[in-house]
Amino acid sequence: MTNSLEDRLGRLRVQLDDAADRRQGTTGGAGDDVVVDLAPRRRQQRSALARVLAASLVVAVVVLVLALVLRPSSTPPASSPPQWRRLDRTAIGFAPQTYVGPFTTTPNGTLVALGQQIHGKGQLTAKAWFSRNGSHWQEASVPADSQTPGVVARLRGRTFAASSASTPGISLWSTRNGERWTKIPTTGLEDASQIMLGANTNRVIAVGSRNGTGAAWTSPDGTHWAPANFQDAPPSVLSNPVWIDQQFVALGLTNDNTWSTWSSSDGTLWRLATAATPERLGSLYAPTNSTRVYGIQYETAGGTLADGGSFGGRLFASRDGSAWTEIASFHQRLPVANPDHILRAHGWWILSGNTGTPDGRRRADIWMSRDLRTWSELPRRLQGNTGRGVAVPSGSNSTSVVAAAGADDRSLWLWRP
Amino acid sequence: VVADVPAPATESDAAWFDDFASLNGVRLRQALIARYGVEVGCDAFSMALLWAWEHRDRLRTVDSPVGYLFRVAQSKVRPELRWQRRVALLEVDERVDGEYVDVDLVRALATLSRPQRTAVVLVHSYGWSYAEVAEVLGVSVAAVTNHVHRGSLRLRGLLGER
Repeated sequence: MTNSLEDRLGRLRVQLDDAADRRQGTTGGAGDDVVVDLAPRRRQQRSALARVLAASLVVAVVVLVLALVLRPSSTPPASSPPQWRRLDRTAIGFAPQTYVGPFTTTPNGTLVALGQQIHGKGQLTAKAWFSRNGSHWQEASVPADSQTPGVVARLRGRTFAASSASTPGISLWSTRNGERWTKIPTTGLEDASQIMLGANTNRVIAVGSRNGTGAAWTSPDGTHWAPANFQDAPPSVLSNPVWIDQQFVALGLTNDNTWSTWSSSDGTLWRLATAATPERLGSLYAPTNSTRVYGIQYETAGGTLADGGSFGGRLFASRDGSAWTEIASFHQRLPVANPDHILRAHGWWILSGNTGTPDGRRRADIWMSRDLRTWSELPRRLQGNTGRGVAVPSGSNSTSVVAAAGADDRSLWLWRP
Repeated sequence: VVADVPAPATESDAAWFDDFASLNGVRLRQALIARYGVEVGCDAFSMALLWAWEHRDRLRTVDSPVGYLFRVAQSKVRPELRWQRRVALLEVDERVDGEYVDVDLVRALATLSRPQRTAVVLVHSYGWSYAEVAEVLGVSVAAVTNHVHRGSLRLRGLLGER
């Protein structure tokens, strides 16, 4: 074997390419996959800064000690917020012109994204993708479908996804590993519309409407569905079902835009929990083992800053759905934030959505908090492209937290805790 | 900032960009790795490619897009390199697919000037022609020849080759 300088330099190419592929989280060879990572790791910059800081170490220690001693009320220093990277979705496995809808995680820890691809003059194809690490995605095998599977629920190792069309005609998919989805029959759901899913440990439920009236269904297996009953007169539509503290909670909306909160111990009998529900509430979210449910009050469509308080999303929480309390720190600290998704992952509350004034110049954004009192925001350089407002769904598994913007902004944000 | 706001992407934008990235992405990444090493080079590459997407209309009119983006990336990573004296192409304790990195070679390359190292790696590791290197770096072919010659001589001296 020759070992000339040229041979050694030639072999170096393989080593450089392999290291670069690993650095960018790809599995392809020789740089065929292109990953756009907008958050440079600052190792070398930190190294340089460390040299500078070393020169003033004594001064820094003295200042730090003085600051700690002289501070009147000692609050623990805040943990540094998540370090996000912004990736180009089309470079990590998503097709061009795709919208990413909800994320979910299968029992084996695979991250799953559901969405749709836009073809030509607006034809849609439903799509799904899966990933182990959040930075390399593969397209899943899905049934031929044009409806977007927009809502998900998990039951006994299976993940269900349903379309939520406004007209009757439900499409329900199921998967075990996120790699292959199958369409399943929906016996009993034939006249359902505006479906959203929820689940506890032994049944999956669907809420929505039937013939213009709010309705709910339960199923032990996702295939055979039975209609639920209502103890009080139902609203026009039910939505956002979550399982919390031994009961299901869902939102009701009447045709005259009145919001209400409904509850059921097992999904088969629903009662009005409270009519005093913040208007425009949505995106209900209950973290695993939490005793509270959280929701977002969306801004008024077309509202302006001059309207006074109608602009910017507000965060609400409820212990059992019977009373809602605003977590005021969010809107006070971030008055132009307009979140649409909530996630609790790796010790952090992560809200995602768009920020900016309501004149159409908005950017996808993420806000983070450890305690729901102090908040941090994506730095400007990592926020999405300026454009119209977009929803930013989020998801997580044991190693990664991800969020994605709409089709015009091809960003996917990744945080590796 | 308003001037940098891209027009809404169309499907043809996406198709053009995918073609663009396929044609130029590998060479751009190679050039940036040769210049800055894997760590900073990959970051620079990512930033350059996103800049390319956001300025795709301007990039369509550029004669040498790899060279153009190479200079964009240079300006993007400059703050990171302000205090950095030497560039390591690889972490020297890194193991790649069961084979340890050629530590002596990586350390020897780190002692070259940036133009020398970039030219040597692009020519001898990635197999670029002198003209291709000159185009991307924005220098003459004669300058590239000089960098490769002097860089190779220095490497041979450091590695004990004749």
